[in-house]
Amino acid sequence: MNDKLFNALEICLQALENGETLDAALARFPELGKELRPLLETSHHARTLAAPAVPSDAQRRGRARLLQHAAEMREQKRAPKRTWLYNFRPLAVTLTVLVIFLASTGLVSASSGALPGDNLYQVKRAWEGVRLLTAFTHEAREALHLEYESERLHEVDELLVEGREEPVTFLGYVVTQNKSEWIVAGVPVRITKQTKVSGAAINVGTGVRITGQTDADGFLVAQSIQILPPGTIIPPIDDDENGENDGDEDDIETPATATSTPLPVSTITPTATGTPEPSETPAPTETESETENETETENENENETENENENENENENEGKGGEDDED
Amino acid sequence: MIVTTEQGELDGLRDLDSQVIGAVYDRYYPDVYRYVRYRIGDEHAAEDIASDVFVRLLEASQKGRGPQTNLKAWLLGTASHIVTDHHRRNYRRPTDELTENMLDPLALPVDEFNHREQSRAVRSALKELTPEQQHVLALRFGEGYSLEETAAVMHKNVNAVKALQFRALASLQRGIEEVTHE
Repeated sequence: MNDKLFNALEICLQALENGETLDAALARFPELGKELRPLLETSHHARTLAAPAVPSDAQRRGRARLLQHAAEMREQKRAPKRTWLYNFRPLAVTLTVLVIFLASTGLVSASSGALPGDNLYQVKRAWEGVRLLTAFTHEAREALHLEYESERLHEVDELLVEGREEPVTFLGYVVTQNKSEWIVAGVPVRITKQTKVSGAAINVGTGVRITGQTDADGFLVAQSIQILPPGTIIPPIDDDENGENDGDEDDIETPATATSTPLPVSTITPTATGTPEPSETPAPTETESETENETETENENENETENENENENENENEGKGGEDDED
Repeated sequence: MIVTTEQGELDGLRDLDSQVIGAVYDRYYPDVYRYVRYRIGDEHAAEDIASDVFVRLLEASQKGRGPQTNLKAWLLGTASHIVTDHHRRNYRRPTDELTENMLDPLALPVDEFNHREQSRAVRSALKELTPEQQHVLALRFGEGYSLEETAAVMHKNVNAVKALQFRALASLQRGIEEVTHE
Protein backbone atom coordinates (compact mmCIF):
# COMPACT_ATOMS: atom_id res chain seq x y z
CA MET A 1 0.00 0.00 0.00
CA ASN A 2 2.74 2.41 0.95
CA ASP A 3 4.72 1.74 -2.19
CA LYS A 4 1.61 2.39 -4.25
CA LEU A 5 1.09 5.67 -2.41
CA PHE A 6 4.75 6.67 -2.86
CA ASN A 7 4.63 5.85 -6.57
CA ALA A 8 1.30 7.66 -7.03
CA LEU A 9 2.76 10.76 -5.38
CA GLU A 10 5.77 10.71 -7.65
CA ILE A 11 3.62 10.32 -10.76
CA CYS A 12 1.41 13.22 -9.69
CA LEU A 13 4.42 15.40 -8.91
CA GLN A 14 5.80 14.80 -12.38
CA ALA A 15 2.40 15.60 -13.86
CA LEU A 16 2.29 18.92 -11.98
CA GLU A 17 5.81 19.66 -13.09
CA ASN A 18 4.73 19.10 -16.66
CA GLY A 19 2.03 21.71 -16.29
CA GLU A 20 -1.02 19.61 -15.42
CA THR A 21 -3.55 20.88 -12.94
CA LEU A 22 -3.89 19.37 -9.50
CA ASP A 23 -7.25 17.84 -10.29
CA ALA A 24 -5.98 16.38 -13.55
CA ALA A 25 -3.09 14.78 -11.77
CA LEU A 26 -5.27 13.39 -8.99
CA ALA A 27 -7.72 11.99 -11.51
CA ARG A 28 -5.18 9.22 -12.14
CA PHE A 29 -5.58 7.93 -8.60
CA PRO A 30 -9.14 8.68 -7.46
CA GLU A 31 -8.89 6.17 -4.61
CA LEU A 32 -5.81 8.01 -3.21
CA GLY A 33 -7.07 11.55 -3.72
CA LYS A 34 -7.67 12.14 -0.03
CA GLU A 35 -4.09 11.33 0.90
CA LEU A 36 -2.41 12.86 -2.14
CA ARG A 37 -4.18 16.20 -2.44
CA PRO A 38 -2.71 17.85 0.70
CA LEU A 39 0.72 16.53 -0.22
CA LEU A 40 0.53 17.90 -3.73
CA GLU A 41 -0.68 21.23 -2.40
CA THR A 42 2.26 21.24 -0.02
CA SER A 43 4.62 20.46 -2.88
CA HIS A 44 3.29 23.58 -4.59
CA HIS A 45 4.22 25.61 -1.52
CA ALA A 46 7.58 23.89 -1.37
CA ARG A 47 8.35 24.99 -4.91
CA THR A 48 7.74 28.63 -4.01
CA LEU A 49 10.87 28.68 -1.89
CA ALA A 50 13.09 28.01 -4.89
CA ALA A 51 15.52 30.86 -5.60
CA PRO A 52 14.40 32.82 -8.64
CA ALA A 53 17.89 33.32 -10.05
CA VAL A 54 21.52 33.09 -9.04
CA PRO A 55 22.87 36.64 -8.45
CA SER A 56 25.80 37.11 -10.80
CA ASP A 57 27.66 39.47 -8.46
CA ALA A 58 27.49 36.91 -5.67
CA GLN A 59 28.89 34.29 -8.03
CA ARG A 60 31.70 36.63 -9.09
CA ARG A 61 32.65 37.44 -5.51
CA GLY A 62 32.66 33.78 -4.57
CA ARG A 63 34.85 32.94 -7.54
CA ALA A 64 37.41 35.61 -6.66
CA ARG A 65 37.48 34.44 -3.06
CA LEU A 66 37.97 30.84 -4.10
CA LEU A 67 40.80 31.58 -6.52
CA GLN A 68 42.49 33.75 -3.92
CA HIS A 69 42.25 30.92 -1.44
CA ALA A 70 43.70 28.52 -4.01
CA ALA A 71 46.61 30.89 -4.63
CA GLU A 72 47.36 31.04 -0.90
CA MET A 73 47.26 27.26 -0.68
CA ARG A 74 49.68 27.01 -3.60
CA GLU A 75 52.04 29.40 -1.85
CA GLN A 76 51.90 27.32 1.31
CA LYS A 77 52.57 24.23 -0.71
CA ARG A 78 55.61 25.79 -2.37
CA ALA A 79 57.02 27.18 0.88
CA PRO A 80 60.08 25.27 2.04
CA LYS A 81 59.44 22.71 4.67
CA ARG A 82 60.08 23.80 8.19
CA THR A 83 63.37 22.71 9.62
CA TRP A 84 64.01 21.94 13.25
CA LEU A 85 65.43 25.43 13.48
CA TYR A 86 61.98 26.80 12.71
CA ASN A 87 60.77 25.42 16.02
CA PHE A 88 63.27 27.58 17.84
CA ARG A 89 62.02 30.73 16.17
CA PRO A 90 59.99 31.85 19.20
CA LEU A 91 63.08 31.38 21.35
CA ALA A 92 65.16 33.48 18.98
CA VAL A 93 62.53 36.20 18.99
CA THR A 94 62.39 36.16 22.78
CA LEU A 95 66.15 36.31 22.98
CA THR A 96 66.30 39.23 20.58
CA VAL A 97 63.66 41.12 22.54
CA LEU A 98 65.58 40.41 25.73
CA VAL A 99 68.80 41.67 24.19
CA ILE A 100 67.12 44.86 23.00
CA PHE A 101 65.53 45.35 26.40
CA LEU A 102 68.76 44.84 28.30
CA ALA A 103 70.70 47.02 25.92
CA SER A 104 68.16 49.79 26.34
CA THR A 105 68.49 49.86 30.10
CA GLY A 106 71.39 51.57 31.82
CA LEU A 107 72.35 48.39 33.62
CA VAL A 108 74.58 47.05 30.88
CA SER A 109 76.42 50.28 30.27
CA ALA A 110 76.82 50.79 34.02
CA SER A 111 78.42 47.37 34.30
CA SER A 112 80.90 47.92 31.47
CA GLY A 113 83.61 49.22 33.82
CA ALA A 114 83.00 46.64 36.55
CA LEU A 115 85.94 44.62 37.83
CA PRO A 116 85.99 41.17 39.41
CA GLY A 117 84.47 41.45 42.85
CA ASP A 118 82.20 44.36 41.92
CA ASN A 119 78.44 43.95 42.23
CA LEU A 120 77.83 44.54 38.54
CA TYR A 121 80.61 42.27 37.35
CA GLN A 122 78.25 39.32 36.87
CA VAL A 123 75.98 41.55 34.78
CA LYS A 124 78.96 42.45 32.63
CA ARG A 125 79.89 38.79 32.11
CA ALA A 126 76.28 37.78 31.47
CA TRP A 127 75.94 40.48 28.86
CA GLU A 128 79.08 39.20 27.17
CA GLY A 129 77.45 35.79 27.04
CA VAL A 130 74.31 37.25 25.49
CA ARG A 131 76.34 39.05 22.85
CA LEU A 132 78.14 35.82 22.02
CA LEU A 133 74.81 34.03 21.62
CA THR A 134 73.63 36.62 19.16
CA ALA A 135 76.84 36.57 17.11
CA PHE A 136 75.90 34.29 14.24
CA THR A 137 79.10 34.25 12.21
CA HIS A 138 82.41 32.66 13.08
CA GLU A 139 84.23 35.95 12.49
CA ALA A 140 81.89 37.83 14.79
CA ARG A 141 82.35 35.28 17.57
CA GLU A 142 86.14 35.37 17.20
CA ALA A 143 86.15 39.15 17.35
CA LEU A 144 84.07 39.03 20.53
CA HIS A 145 86.34 36.43 22.12
CA LEU A 146 89.34 38.62 21.39
CA GLU A 147 87.55 41.63 22.80
CA TYR A 148 86.61 39.78 25.97
CA GLU A 149 90.12 38.40 26.57
CA SER A 150 91.56 41.88 26.13
CA GLU A 151 89.01 43.08 28.65
CA ARG A 152 90.16 40.40 31.14
CA LEU A 153 93.71 41.73 30.82
CA HIS A 154 92.47 45.25 31.33
CA GLU A 155 90.60 44.15 34.43
CA VAL A 156 93.73 42.55 35.88
CA ASP A 157 95.69 45.73 35.27
CA GLU A 158 93.02 47.79 36.97
CA LEU A 159 92.96 45.47 39.97
CA LEU A 160 96.74 45.64 40.27
CA VAL A 161 96.71 49.42 40.07
CA GLU A 162 94.05 49.57 42.77
CA GLY A 163 95.88 47.00 44.84
CA ARG A 164 92.79 44.86 45.21
CA GLU A 165 92.83 41.16 45.97
CA GLU A 166 90.46 39.40 43.61
CA PRO A 167 90.44 36.05 41.82
CA VAL A 168 91.10 36.38 38.11
CA THR A 169 91.78 34.35 35.01
CA PHE A 170 93.34 35.63 31.82
CA LEU A 171 95.19 34.48 28.70
CA GLY A 172 98.49 35.77 27.43
CA TYR A 173 101.97 35.04 26.13
CA VAL A 174 104.83 34.46 28.50
CA VAL A 175 107.16 37.38 28.08
CA THR A 176 109.79 36.75 30.68
CA GLN A 177 110.56 33.97 33.10
CA ASN A 178 112.66 33.60 36.12
CA LYS A 179 112.21 31.34 39.06
CA SER A 180 109.49 33.06 41.01
CA GLU A 181 108.36 35.89 38.80
CA TRP A 182 107.10 35.78 35.26
CA ILE A 183 105.66 38.44 33.12
CA VAL A 184 102.71 37.22 31.12
CA ALA A 185 101.06 39.67 28.73
CA GLY A 186 102.57 42.48 30.73
CA VAL A 187 101.17 41.19 34.00
CA PRO A 188 103.70 40.40 36.73
CA VAL A 189 102.92 36.90 37.86
CA ARG A 190 104.30 35.46 41.06
CA ILE A 191 105.01 31.75 41.04
CA THR A 192 104.75 30.01 44.39
CA LYS A 193 105.13 26.46 45.55
CA GLN A 194 101.38 26.09 45.37
CA THR A 195 101.25 27.12 41.73
CA LYS A 196 100.26 24.21 39.52
CA VAL A 197 101.97 24.34 36.19
CA SER A 198 100.59 22.03 33.55
CA GLY A 199 102.81 20.96 30.70
CA ALA A 200 106.49 20.37 30.89
CA ALA A 201 107.83 23.11 28.69
CA ILE A 202 106.54 26.60 29.18
CA ASN A 203 108.94 28.98 27.60
CA VAL A 204 109.02 32.59 26.68
CA GLY A 205 106.45 33.05 23.91
CA THR A 206 104.17 30.25 25.05
CA GLY A 207 100.48 31.08 25.24
CA VAL A 208 99.09 30.28 28.68
CA ARG A 209 96.03 30.62 30.83
CA ILE A 210 96.77 32.09 34.23
CA THR A 211 94.40 31.59 37.12
CA GLY A 212 95.20 33.31 40.36
CA GLN A 213 94.59 36.24 42.62
CA THR A 214 95.77 39.79 42.46
CA ASP A 215 97.48 41.10 45.55
CA ALA A 216 98.16 44.45 47.12
CA ASP A 217 101.83 44.38 46.00
CA GLY A 218 100.93 44.66 42.33
CA PHE A 219 101.41 40.98 41.56
CA LEU A 220 99.13 38.26 40.41
CA VAL A 221 99.78 35.21 42.55
CA ALA A 222 99.31 32.30 40.21
CA GLN A 223 97.31 29.29 41.33
CA SER A 224 97.54 27.48 38.02
CA ILE A 225 99.23 27.97 34.68
CA GLN A 226 98.03 25.99 31.69
CA ILE A 227 99.43 25.85 28.19
CA LEU A 228 96.77 26.90 25.70
CA PRO A 229 95.96 24.64 22.79
CA PRO A 230 96.85 25.82 19.28
CA GLY A 231 94.29 28.15 17.77
CA THR A 232 93.27 29.75 21.03
CA ILE A 233 92.51 33.42 20.63
CA ILE A 234 95.03 35.36 22.70
CA PRO A 235 94.92 39.13 22.83
CA PRO A 236 97.94 41.16 21.85
CA ILE A 237 99.47 43.35 24.54
CA ASP A 238 98.44 46.96 24.83
CA ASP A 239 101.78 48.66 25.42
CA ASP A 240 100.22 51.94 26.52
CA GLU A 241 99.00 50.36 29.66
CA ASN A 242 102.19 48.56 30.58
CA GLY A 243 104.83 51.20 30.57
CA GLU A 244 107.16 49.42 32.88
CA ASN A 245 107.44 46.46 30.54
CA ASP A 246 107.71 48.41 27.33
CA GLY A 247 110.55 46.56 25.75
CA ASP A 248 108.93 43.23 26.18
CA GLU A 249 105.56 44.23 24.83
CA ASP A 250 106.94 45.69 21.65
CA ASP A 251 108.11 42.29 20.64
CA ILE A 252 104.91 40.65 21.69
CA GLU A 253 102.78 42.86 19.45
CA THR A 254 102.98 40.09 16.93
CA PRO A 255 101.64 37.05 18.71
CA ALA A 256 104.24 34.46 19.31
CA THR A 257 103.61 31.24 17.49
CA ALA A 258 106.60 29.29 18.64
CA THR A 259 108.30 28.89 21.88
CA SER A 260 111.61 30.11 20.41
CA THR A 261 110.36 33.55 19.54
CA PRO A 262 113.15 35.99 20.30
CA LEU A 263 112.15 38.22 23.11
CA PRO A 264 113.93 40.95 24.93
CA VAL A 265 115.57 39.33 27.83
CA SER A 266 117.52 42.18 29.18
CA THR A 267 115.77 42.01 32.47
CA ILE A 268 116.84 38.49 33.10
CA THR A 269 120.09 38.28 31.13
CA PRO A 270 122.96 38.20 33.49
CA THR A 271 125.01 41.33 33.27
CA ALA A 272 128.35 41.10 31.54
CA THR A 273 130.67 40.12 34.24
CA GLY A 274 133.72 40.05 32.00
CA THR A 275 133.23 43.44 30.45
CA PRO A 276 136.09 45.80 31.27
CA GLU A 277 133.92 48.84 31.55
CA PRO A 278 130.76 47.76 33.25
CA SER A 279 129.14 51.14 33.17
CA GLU A 280 128.93 51.28 29.38
CA THR A 281 128.04 47.72 28.44
CA PRO A 282 124.34 47.54 29.29
CA ALA A 283 123.18 50.28 26.97
CA PRO A 284 124.56 48.95 23.66
CA THR A 285 123.55 45.43 24.56
CA GLU A 286 119.96 46.41 25.06
CA THR A 287 119.92 48.62 21.98
CA GLU A 288 121.21 45.87 19.79
CA SER A 289 118.80 43.40 21.11
CA GLU A 290 115.96 45.73 20.33
CA THR A 291 117.41 46.46 17.08
CA GLU A 292 117.04 49.29 14.65
CA ASN A 293 119.83 50.82 12.61
CA GLU A 294 118.25 54.13 13.22
CA THR A 295 118.55 53.58 16.91
CA GLU A 296 122.14 52.58 16.58
CA THR A 297 122.94 55.66 14.60
CA GLU A 298 121.26 57.77 17.14
CA ASN A 299 123.28 56.15 19.88
CA GLU A 300 126.49 56.61 17.94
CA ASN A 301 125.79 60.25 17.50
CA GLU A 302 125.25 60.51 21.14
CA ASN A 303 128.15 58.36 22.22
CA GLU A 304 129.44 61.19 24.28
CA THR A 305 126.28 61.58 26.15
CA GLU A 306 126.47 61.58 29.87
CA ASN A 307 125.41 58.60 31.93
CA GLU A 308 122.65 60.65 33.43
CA ASN A 309 120.98 60.85 30.00
CA GLU A 310 121.18 57.18 29.41
CA ASN A 311 117.73 56.41 30.70
CA GLU A 312 116.18 59.10 28.55
CA ASN A 313 117.89 57.69 25.45
CA GLU A 314 116.65 54.28 26.25
CA ASN A 315 113.12 55.46 26.54
CA GLU A 316 113.30 57.31 23.26
CA ASN A 317 114.80 54.35 21.47
CA GLU A 318 112.23 52.05 22.84
CA GLY A 319 109.48 54.36 21.76
CA LYS A 320 110.79 54.49 18.21
CA GLY A 321 111.29 50.79 18.20
CA GLY A 322 107.63 50.37 19.01
CA GLU A 323 106.54 52.61 16.17
CA ASP A 324 108.83 50.83 13.75
CA ASP A 325 107.43 47.54 14.79
CA GLU A 326 104.02 48.76 14.00
CA ASP A 327 105.20 49.97 10.61
CA MET B 1 33.70 9.90 -21.01
CA ILE B 2 31.92 11.73 -18.22
CA VAL B 3 33.93 9.86 -15.64
CA THR B 4 37.13 10.82 -17.42
CA THR B 5 36.14 14.50 -17.37
CA GLU B 6 35.24 14.38 -13.71
CA GLN B 7 38.44 12.53 -12.89
CA GLY B 8 40.35 15.30 -14.65
CA GLU B 9 38.53 17.84 -12.51
CA LEU B 10 39.34 15.96 -9.34
CA ASP B 11 43.01 15.74 -10.36
CA GLY B 12 43.05 19.44 -11.17
CA LEU B 13 41.56 20.26 -7.78
CA ARG B 14 44.25 18.24 -6.04
CA ASP B 15 46.89 20.10 -8.06
CA LEU B 16 45.25 23.45 -7.26
CA ASP B 17 45.00 24.13 -10.97
CA SER B 18 43.36 27.57 -11.29
CA GLN B 19 41.67 26.77 -14.57
CA VAL B 20 40.13 23.60 -13.25
CA ILE B 21 39.07 25.28 -10.03
CA GLY B 22 37.43 28.10 -11.97
CA ALA B 23 35.68 25.67 -14.30
CA VAL B 24 34.38 23.54 -11.43
CA TYR B 25 33.14 26.61 -9.65
CA ASP B 26 31.37 27.99 -12.72
CA ARG B 27 29.75 24.67 -13.39
CA TYR B 28 28.48 23.87 -9.92
CA TYR B 29 28.02 27.22 -8.21
CA PRO B 30 24.43 27.78 -9.45
CA ASP B 31 23.33 24.40 -8.11
CA VAL B 32 25.04 24.95 -4.79
CA TYR B 33 23.71 28.47 -4.41
CA ARG B 34 20.13 27.45 -5.27
CA TYR B 35 20.32 24.60 -2.83
CA VAL B 36 21.58 26.76 0.02
CA ARG B 37 19.20 29.59 -0.77
CA TYR B 38 16.30 27.16 -0.71
CA ARG B 39 17.13 26.09 2.81
CA ILE B 40 18.18 29.51 4.09
CA GLY B 41 16.06 32.62 3.81
CA ASP B 42 18.96 35.04 4.23
CA GLU B 43 20.45 35.89 0.87
CA HIS B 44 23.81 37.04 2.26
CA ALA B 45 24.22 34.01 4.47
CA ALA B 46 23.39 31.82 1.48
CA GLU B 47 26.10 33.55 -0.56
CA ASP B 48 28.69 33.00 2.17
CA ILE B 49 27.79 29.38 2.67
CA ALA B 50 27.79 28.60 -1.05
CA SER B 51 31.25 30.14 -1.26
CA ASP B 52 32.43 28.17 1.78
CA VAL B 53 31.40 24.92 0.13
CA PHE B 54 33.98 25.41 -2.63
CA VAL B 55 36.70 26.45 -0.23
CA ARG B 56 36.07 23.26 1.69
CA LEU B 57 36.27 21.33 -1.54
CA LEU B 58 39.80 22.63 -2.12
CA GLU B 59 40.90 21.93 1.41
CA ALA B 60 39.41 18.45 1.44
CA SER B 61 41.04 17.65 -1.91
CA GLN B 62 44.43 18.66 -0.51
CA LYS B 63 43.96 16.44 2.51
CA GLY B 64 42.83 13.49 0.41
CA ARG B 65 39.32 13.63 1.83
CA GLY B 66 37.67 15.16 -1.23
CA PRO B 67 35.20 13.53 -3.58
CA GLN B 68 36.29 10.35 -5.30
CA THR B 69 33.66 10.21 -8.02
CA ASN B 70 30.47 12.29 -7.79
CA LEU B 71 31.59 15.88 -7.40
CA LYS B 72 28.11 17.37 -7.42
CA ALA B 73 26.89 14.97 -4.73
CA TRP B 74 29.89 15.88 -2.59
CA LEU B 75 29.26 19.61 -3.00
CA LEU B 76 25.55 19.40 -2.20
CA GLY B 77 26.15 17.03 0.69
CA THR B 78 28.71 19.45 2.12
CA ALA B 79 26.29 22.32 1.57
CA SER B 80 23.66 20.36 3.50
CA HIS B 81 26.02 19.89 6.45
CA ILE B 82 26.98 23.56 6.54
CA VAL B 83 23.33 24.66 6.34
CA THR B 84 22.36 22.30 9.14
CA ASP B 85 25.16 23.70 11.23
CA HIS B 86 24.02 27.22 10.38
CA HIS B 87 20.48 26.43 11.53
CA ARG B 88 21.80 24.89 14.71
CA ARG B 89 23.75 28.00 15.56
CA ASN B 90 20.91 30.31 14.58
CA TYR B 91 18.49 28.32 16.66
CA ARG B 92 20.09 29.97 19.66
CA ARG B 93 19.56 33.39 18.08
CA PRO B 94 16.05 33.31 16.60
CA THR B 95 15.86 37.10 16.45
CA ASP B 96 17.94 37.10 13.26
CA GLU B 97 15.29 35.29 11.33
CA LEU B 98 12.49 37.28 12.88
CA THR B 99 14.05 40.52 11.77
CA GLU B 100 14.12 39.40 8.20
CA ASN B 101 10.59 38.14 8.18
CA MET B 102 8.89 40.84 10.15
CA LEU B 103 6.44 42.52 7.84
CA ASP B 104 4.39 45.65 8.09
CA PRO B 105 0.86 44.66 6.86
CA LEU B 106 0.02 48.22 5.92
CA ALA B 107 3.05 48.67 3.71
CA LEU B 108 2.23 45.86 1.26
CA PRO B 109 -0.66 44.93 -1.05
CA VAL B 110 -2.86 42.17 0.33
CA ASP B 111 -1.75 39.57 -2.19
CA GLU B 112 1.89 40.29 -1.62
CA PHE B 113 1.43 40.19 2.11
CA ASN B 114 -0.36 36.84 1.93
CA HIS B 115 2.31 35.46 -0.34
CA ARG B 116 5.04 36.47 2.05
CA GLU B 117 3.19 35.12 5.03
CA GLN B 118 2.76 31.85 3.22
CA SER B 119 6.46 31.72 2.38
CA ARG B 120 7.35 32.47 5.98
CA ALA B 121 5.13 29.64 7.18
CA VAL B 122 6.62 27.21 4.69
CA ARG B 123 10.17 28.18 5.60
CA SER B 124 9.46 27.93 9.31
CA ALA B 125 7.95 24.51 8.80
CA LEU B 126 10.84 23.44 6.58
CA LYS B 127 13.35 24.24 9.29
CA GLU B 128 11.59 21.88 11.63
CA LEU B 129 12.09 18.88 9.35
CA THR B 130 14.96 16.49 9.72
CA PRO B 131 18.10 17.43 7.74
CA GLU B 132 17.47 14.51 5.40
CA GLN B 133 13.90 15.59 4.74
CA GLN B 134 15.06 19.16 4.10
CA HIS B 135 17.74 17.76 1.83
CA VAL B 136 15.34 15.81 -0.35
CA LEU B 137 12.88 18.70 -0.65
CA ALA B 138 15.67 21.11 -1.55
CA LEU B 139 16.88 18.76 -4.28
CA ARG B 140 13.45 17.99 -5.67
CA PHE B 141 11.77 21.39 -5.38
CA GLY B 142 14.64 23.81 -4.99
CA GLU B 143 16.92 22.33 -7.62
CA GLY B 144 14.20 20.71 -9.69
CA TYR B 145 16.15 17.46 -9.87
CA SER B 146 14.42 14.33 -11.10
CA LEU B 147 13.90 11.39 -8.82
CA GLU B 148 16.92 9.65 -10.32
CA GLU B 149 19.21 12.68 -9.98
CA THR B 150 18.09 13.15 -6.40
CA ALA B 151 18.77 9.50 -5.67
CA ALA B 152 22.27 9.81 -7.14
CA VAL B 153 23.10 12.88 -5.07
CA MET B 154 21.76 11.31 -1.90
CA HIS B 155 23.44 7.98 -2.59
CA LYS B 156 20.09 6.23 -2.19
CA ASN B 157 17.97 4.11 -4.43
CA VAL B 158 14.93 5.57 -6.15
CA ASN B 159 12.36 3.82 -3.96
CA ALA B 160 14.02 5.13 -0.82
CA VAL B 161 13.84 8.66 -2.20
CA LYS B 162 10.17 8.19 -3.07
CA ALA B 163 9.42 7.20 0.50
CA LEU B 164 11.57 9.98 1.91
CA GLN B 165 9.90 12.70 -0.15
CA PHE B 166 6.47 11.37 0.80
CA ARG B 167 7.28 11.68 4.48
CA ALA B 168 8.99 15.00 3.99
CA LEU B 169 5.94 16.49 2.30
CA ALA B 170 3.66 15.06 4.94
CA SER B 171 5.81 16.58 7.71
CA LEU B 172 5.97 19.88 5.91
CA GLN B 173 2.22 19.94 5.52
CA ARG B 174 1.73 19.41 9.24
CA GLY B 175 4.32 22.03 10.02
CA ILE B 176 2.66 24.62 7.80
CA GLU B 177 -0.68 23.95 9.47
CA GLU B 178 0.89 24.38 12.89
CA VAL B 179 2.59 27.63 11.94
CA THR B 180 -0.56 28.94 10.29
CA HIS B 181 -2.71 28.19 13.30
CA GLU B 182 -0.32 29.75 15.81
